[in-house]
Amino acid sequence: MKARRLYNRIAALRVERGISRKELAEQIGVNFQTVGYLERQEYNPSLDLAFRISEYFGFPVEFIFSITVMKPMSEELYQQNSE
Amino acid sequence: MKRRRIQVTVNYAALLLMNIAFYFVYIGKSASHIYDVIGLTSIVVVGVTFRSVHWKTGIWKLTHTKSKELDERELTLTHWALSQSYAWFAVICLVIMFAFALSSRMNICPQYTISIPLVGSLIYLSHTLPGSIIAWKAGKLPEDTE
Repeated sequence: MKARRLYNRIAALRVERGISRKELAEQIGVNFQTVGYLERQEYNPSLDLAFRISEYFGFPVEFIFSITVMKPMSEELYQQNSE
Repeated sequence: MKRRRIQVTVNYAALLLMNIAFYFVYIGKSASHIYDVIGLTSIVVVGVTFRSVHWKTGIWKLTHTKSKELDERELTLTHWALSQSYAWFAVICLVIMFAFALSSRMNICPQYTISIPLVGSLIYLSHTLPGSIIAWKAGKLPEDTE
């Protein structure tokens, strides 16, 4: 069975927090290369890792991960403000 | 990726060439010193390509680290590479055994037995095959993402 591609906001959130891949990797307990794979959406994390990432950033899993292409956060924020 | 695949191919081609060269040395072919040189040169080529494919890239470390020290992506990758290499290694060993059985049956060089270069090559192959598979796929994961 082919796994669906999971889209995520890890790169945007990490840059926003001003932390390196290595620092994030240490916090979520993976190799820093794995963070690169996650950010490029070349690797789908396990449920446990997805929860660890969401706990670290303090956002729900569905905010960070999606099965559809995610809009940039700035675009979503603009839409919410204009509604 | 293409460069890595070429290096993997050269690595195993040199290993094969080394075995062929030392086979000719073993059967006492005339001008065996030429085969000696070819065999020794092949070992150097194997060493050089091993360094660039397995050592410098960290693939050797990845496939030889204890599983508890790997994260989930690395574990998935190494498990997949090990299962793939197990299948390939079994086929290679069976082909070698079949070749030995056939050569003794057809009386082609019946005195030839499993040699030290061949055993050494199989040990090398068993250790490098998982890494070579990872290098061949260039980090692509077994689960094909759409």
